[in-house]
Amino acid sequence: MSENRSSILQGTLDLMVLKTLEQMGPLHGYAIACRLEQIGERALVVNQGTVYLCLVRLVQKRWVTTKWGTSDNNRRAKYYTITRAGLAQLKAEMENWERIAGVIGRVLQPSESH
Amino acid sequence: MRASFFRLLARVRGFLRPDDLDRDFDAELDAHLEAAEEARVRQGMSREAARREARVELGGLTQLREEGRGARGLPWLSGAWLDVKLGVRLLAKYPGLTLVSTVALAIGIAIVAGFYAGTNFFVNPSLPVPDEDELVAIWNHDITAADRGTQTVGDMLALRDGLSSVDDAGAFALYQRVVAVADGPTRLVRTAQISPSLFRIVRVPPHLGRALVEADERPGGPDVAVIGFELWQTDFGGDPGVLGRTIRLGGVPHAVVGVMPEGFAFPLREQLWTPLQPASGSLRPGEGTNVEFVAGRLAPGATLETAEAELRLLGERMEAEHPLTHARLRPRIATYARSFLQANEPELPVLMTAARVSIGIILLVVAVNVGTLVYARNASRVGEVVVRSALGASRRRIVLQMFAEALVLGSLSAAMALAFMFWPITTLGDLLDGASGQAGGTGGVPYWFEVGIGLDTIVLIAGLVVGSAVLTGILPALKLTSRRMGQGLSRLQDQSAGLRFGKTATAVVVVQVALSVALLTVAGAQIWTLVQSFVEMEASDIASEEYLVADLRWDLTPGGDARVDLRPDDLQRRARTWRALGQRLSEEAAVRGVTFASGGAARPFALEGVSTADRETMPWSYLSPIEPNFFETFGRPILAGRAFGPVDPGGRAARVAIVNEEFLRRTGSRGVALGGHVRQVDPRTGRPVGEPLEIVGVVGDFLGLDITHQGPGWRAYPTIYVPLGDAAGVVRISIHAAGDPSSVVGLMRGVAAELDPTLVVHQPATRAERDEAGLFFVRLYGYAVGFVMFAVLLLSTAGTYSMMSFTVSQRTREIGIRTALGARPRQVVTDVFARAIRQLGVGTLLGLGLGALASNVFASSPAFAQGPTLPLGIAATLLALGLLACGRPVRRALAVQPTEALRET
Repeated sequence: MSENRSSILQGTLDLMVLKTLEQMGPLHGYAIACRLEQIGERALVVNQGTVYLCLVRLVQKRWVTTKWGTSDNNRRAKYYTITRAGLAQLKAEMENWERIAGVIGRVLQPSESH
Repeated sequence: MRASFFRLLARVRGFLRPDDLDRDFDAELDAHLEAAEEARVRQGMSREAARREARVELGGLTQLREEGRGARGLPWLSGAWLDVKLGVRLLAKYPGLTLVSTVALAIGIAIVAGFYAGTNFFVNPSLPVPDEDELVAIWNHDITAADRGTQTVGDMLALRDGLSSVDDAGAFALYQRVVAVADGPTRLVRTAQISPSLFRIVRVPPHLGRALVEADERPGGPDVAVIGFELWQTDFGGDPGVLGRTIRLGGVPHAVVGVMPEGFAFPLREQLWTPLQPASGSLRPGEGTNVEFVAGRLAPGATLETAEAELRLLGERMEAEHPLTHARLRPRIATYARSFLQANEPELPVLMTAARVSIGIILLVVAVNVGTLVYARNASRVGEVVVRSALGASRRRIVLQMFAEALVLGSLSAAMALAFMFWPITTLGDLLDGASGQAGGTGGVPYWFEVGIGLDTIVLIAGLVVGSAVLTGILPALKLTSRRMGQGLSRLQDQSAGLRFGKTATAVVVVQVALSVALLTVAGAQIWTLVQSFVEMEASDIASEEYLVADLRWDLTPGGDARVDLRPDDLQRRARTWRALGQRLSEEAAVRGVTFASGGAARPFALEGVSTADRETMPWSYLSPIEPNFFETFGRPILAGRAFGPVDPGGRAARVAIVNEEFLRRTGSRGVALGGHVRQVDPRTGRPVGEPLEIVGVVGDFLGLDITHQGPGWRAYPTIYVPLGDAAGVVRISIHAAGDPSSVVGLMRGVAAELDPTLVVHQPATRAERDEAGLFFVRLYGYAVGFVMFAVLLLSTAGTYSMMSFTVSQRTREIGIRTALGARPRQVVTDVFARAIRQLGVGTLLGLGLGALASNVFASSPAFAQGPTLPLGIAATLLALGLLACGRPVRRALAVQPTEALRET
């Protein structure tokens, strides 16, 4: 049970983090977490720590690179940048997501028409 | 795919350098918390509240770190490493139990692996040549004698022509020959006369020059020789220009045409090869010189079974066509590597089965003991397991951890087992090599029989360790963590010491004691008998140290048997030589006397006037040809009649005989006396052969070493002595030395070489040394039984001790309560010991019965043959040790404060 939920979440989170990095350019972990919260309009309850676990995975897969730098308010922060492999993965996953979303939408449509 | 690979790479890196990544991760989380706090403070929150909220939003920090570590490294492997560390720590916590369990397991492993390493070389032999399983050997089995039969060059030719499933058939004969390089010193070398085709089938190219080729096989071909690498090194100093140089075999120069590579000693253990030249190509089966084996390579597509079927047909044809020589011979085939044992030791498989059964019984006892230890140990760990479960350890985690612990213990045992095995196995290897190096003539151990602790043995030990870890780690862990056991902490509080298996514990104690007593009684009886025979032997003085004995051999005298018929003038020339040797030696101050004899064989004899119809009761005796001064040299008095004189003809012309006392004892009831006659009898037909011999004297007995299943001892053998004459092909020289017999050896060799360069003094040794060599395996057997006894005693003591100590500890609370309620300590102690005595007593009685039964069935010395002292002593020892084991826990239990015992309820 819990495994299913987390695996769906995990895949989705990866996709969202990659998308954020693609859109916003290099970001540190806190900024990514804030951005996800902002977009999700608090409907998406994500423990911020989970973002870091997700980032560890993305770095290991070489879809994202890291570099320690200085943040806007002059603090040390670790910046994440999406790589070319990451962009390719993002494209593939987005297509996949759209296809699945479309299928699920079609499946759900008839029952909602009542 | 690529991403997964990168991830694995990153995880391995993370596993190897966890600290760097931990620091990095922590720094990042700190930076996150600071930024989040800062942002909230800017929105007007108090710093305290901002910090709290930032933490809540990030989630549990410890868990996050843990998960981060898991995601970065190889958590499974780190867990396993942790288990191993924990295992080591737990083993160190109970040093006594660990030591005993390690030794116990080590003994078990040493027995199995040692037996494997000590027998596998002949159970699964493998010849170090390409495609060795296609190499076959064919020999003749004599169905009457149930033994090897003769095989000749003519047989080989018939097989070469008639057998389509075996290619390149050839034969070889083995000889020890007197070899010299140029005019250098002579020495004996193991050589083979061999068909050149056999060099083709072994597919081992020569190191230098060429192997033997078909042209060398032609009758009257050139005298050529191929030498072995080792001979090349020792006798030619590894000279690269050795090809074409001369080596003398029995005085005849041969040209060296090739050197075989290092380690090559085909067919058995040879270092010099000359072509086997059939006298003619048209020899029929049974004709030509004798050979050791016919060998060949299976034809493409043929199997051992098809070859066997074809050989059977061919054998039948040979039997029909050559009934004179082949009526009783049946050709047999085996893979080459196995052939020597199959042909010469046909009873070996039976012996091996017996050995395996004995090993199995011993292992059973060891296993029961190890099992007891593990049982007692795990029973005391219920508390630990329950607590760990309560703290959140999963079942899998606990099982894996106990497995790791058992693996750690098993590895220690494996190391110890290797140490146990090392000496016996390497010594056995050296012994076999040494024995083969010195072995008379052509016997010995094949060169591909390599005894040692090889990779296969190591793999076996590793398997045993894993297997034992499954049995002693996983199975008990599964039981301990089973639902019935895992009913939480309440159980723990309920019982102070864990598993409640009263009946099982009793059964374990009884079985354990019974098996130990049984095995110790059986083994003890063996040892006792052996020790007694050795003591008796020491007590009887037969002055065997003063006599030096050696065989005198001439070049091309194979093995000492009479396969080569010598012409009478050859025999006379030899007799002149050895008599001259005796004469020269007896003039030396270091020599008191010299005499000669020839090999005595046990033969049936017919007595004058006694019917020979009943073959079962036919008297048998050794026939021993001797020189007239034999009895005088050995200081044996002639009790009646006379000694032999120079006028008594010897050999086949012998007409007189002297018998010993033992002969008279054996035949006395039949009225044999001085002046009577004895005749040799053909054992197959029961008919007398040869001329009757008149008994002219009676002599005192010689005691010879006799090894029976009762152990070694001195024994007199019935013997008929006849005059030696000139006819013996091989004679044995006996020298009565005035001082140290070994000082005579050099002297004898020098004189022998001077008299005849083809004469070899073979294996000079004192009689005591010869006896010692014969006793070697008896001693080895004694040591092995002793080792097993020691192991079983150690194990059963430890097992009984831990089991008794465990069952008494189980009753700590009960004893405490009883004391609290006013029971007197004496009463409690009596009660505990009464129960212990019942358990141990039943076990001991069962063991004695089992031991008596087993020793009557399997062993040669019945357990009670020496009286009841030994078995009863063993039983009493085990009983006492078991009771001793109760002492400490009882004292401990009595020391428990009654209030404490009550509180535990």
